[in-house]
Amino acid sequence: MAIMQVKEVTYCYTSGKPVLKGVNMTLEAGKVYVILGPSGCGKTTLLSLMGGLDIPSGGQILFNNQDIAQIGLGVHRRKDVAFIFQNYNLIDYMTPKENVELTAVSDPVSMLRQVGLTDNEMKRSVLKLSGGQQQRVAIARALASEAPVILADEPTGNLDEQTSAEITRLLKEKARNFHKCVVIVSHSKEVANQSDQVFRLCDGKISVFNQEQHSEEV
Amino acid sequence: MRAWRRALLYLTRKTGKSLLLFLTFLAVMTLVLLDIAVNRSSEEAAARLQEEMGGYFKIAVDYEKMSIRQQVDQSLIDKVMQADGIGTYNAMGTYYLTLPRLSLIPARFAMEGDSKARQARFLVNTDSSLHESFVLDILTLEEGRHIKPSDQGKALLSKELAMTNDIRTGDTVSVDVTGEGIGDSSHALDDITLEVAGIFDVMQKENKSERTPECDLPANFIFIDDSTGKKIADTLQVRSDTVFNSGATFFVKDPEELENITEQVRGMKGIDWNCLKLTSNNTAYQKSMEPLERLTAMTSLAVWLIIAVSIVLLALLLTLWERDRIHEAGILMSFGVSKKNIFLQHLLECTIVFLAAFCLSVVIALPLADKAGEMLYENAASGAGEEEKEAGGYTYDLDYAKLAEAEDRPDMRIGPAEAAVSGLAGLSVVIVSVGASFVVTARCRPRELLTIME
Repeated sequence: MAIMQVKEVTYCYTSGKPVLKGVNMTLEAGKVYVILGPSGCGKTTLLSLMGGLDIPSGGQILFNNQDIAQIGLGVHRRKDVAFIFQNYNLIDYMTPKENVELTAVSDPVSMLRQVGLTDNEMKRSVLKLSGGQQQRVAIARALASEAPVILADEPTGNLDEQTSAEITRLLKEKARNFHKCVVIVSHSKEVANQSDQVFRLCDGKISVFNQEQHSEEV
Repeated sequence: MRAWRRALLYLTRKTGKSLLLFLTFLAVMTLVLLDIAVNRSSEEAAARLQEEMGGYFKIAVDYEKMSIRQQVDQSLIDKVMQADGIGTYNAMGTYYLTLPRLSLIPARFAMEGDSKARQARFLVNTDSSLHESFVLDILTLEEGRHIKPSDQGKALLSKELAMTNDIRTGDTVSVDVTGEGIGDSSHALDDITLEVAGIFDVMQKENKSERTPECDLPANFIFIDDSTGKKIADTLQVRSDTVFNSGATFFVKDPEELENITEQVRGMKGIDWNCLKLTSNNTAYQKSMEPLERLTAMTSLAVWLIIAVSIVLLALLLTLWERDRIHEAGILMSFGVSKKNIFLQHLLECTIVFLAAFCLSVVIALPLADKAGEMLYENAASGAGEEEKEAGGYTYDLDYAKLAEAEDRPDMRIGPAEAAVSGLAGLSVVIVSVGASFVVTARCRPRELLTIME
């Protein structure tokens, strides 16, 4: 059953230039989706619209068959979705534990342990953690919110290959364990390979990408 | 996580920024409180001066006029007292009488061997404390008390005269007054026994020359009560309505209103201004007010200046602060934290810092206020101290320096009401400044905030 639907969504920049020209997507719980596309094609914009960070110029975004505009974008962001950003976006004056507490419905310590942080690391300043550790905190924060949809904008963009693979594996594993719908915007082959479905966004239109096409293109 | 917890975490983790804000608030609030304390004390001093020094006007017979149809008598005084804003009065009379048993301070007539060398000036007063010479500190009471309206047979003598004749306060002086001089020379009075109620000292240097007669020396002045004055008048068989032949001085409650009150008196029916003259004097008040007004104006200006500068400074500081926090606001909003909640967090942070700084500023400002006030009073007083005033035919100095003396200067203190008002005003500045600095965040959508931060 679809947890989230994007219906004929359009978006124009303030200059009037259209970015999204009637995008349609259907997302299900427990699956990992990857959106591919060239830089500037509107991938992050689409993710922002799905997460209620911005308002589409046209069309609808439904969460459990209800328009997120009706739910309220603030409520949608608080209850329905959780973000993971490329630059982690942790609050710098808080410890990892406190960062997770920002959104936590479940126990933040147990969530941080699950993503591989030690008790010592949980009490440190986030600025003293490595990039990989910071992204683990960001993943723990997204998972702890218990939002059914996780929107990840290039979550491994700032990480080295090995850490990137670990983070992707962790994200996929936790998404399956917690029955989350994960949407990842990424350029990474590894990430795309581990997804259940790949979408390709080009010229404002989105299309489903099959594995053969994907392998050739990658 | 609730806003207050985020605020506390921010303040405890970002100690540098919190300390900077704390010190800014502390400096601003200490200055404001200091200013308020000095301003309040100068206003209190002005009010006290207004009450104590007072302005006054004098109504006396104009002896230059040919016909004297009206004297200053009790009925005229009662009529004038009906005017609004008059507090009290002192009715005065003057007699020049010879004192064969007392040795006066010698002057011109003694040198010339004239019998007028024993002639003293008797000043009838209903209340000697209100005599111009005492009001203007030309004379000051050294011992005893002043003559009051209910007194009978009381006198005030100068210190010099008392020493010359070995007289002390409480002594009775039997004065065998011989009517010779300006009074009726054909009459000899019975003995008048006067009790010395007080002894005064002459504070100002007398403009004594070779031509000055004995009776013009303030040291030879003898202040007597109204009742004794009437006795002298009866014996001299002068008209009873001429007892107050030197007129009456009326003291107004508010010197600022002196002009309006004199206008009101001039307009009263039944007073013949063709033979009476009215002169007003609030010079002493005005001159004494100058340093206080200067101080009040200075401190008022400083308060407004400090408030204006602090608003600009805070707005600037918080705007810069807020720019750094757009990043944080974007992150919080991406998790569904509302703008109101973020604003509340920022407001709580500033309010906590402000309240801590305000409490400390009260503790600091209290002892500092007295020091600052003392310095300011000294500066203000020194500016006016050298001025000399001319009044009543005497040259005198008003002692401006005494404004700086601790016993005369009101306490520099901050009342609970003023502290509360400054605290609330400061808090309003904080709310406005935080609100103004939050405008950018409030206007942007979460995605724009995240884009800005990126």
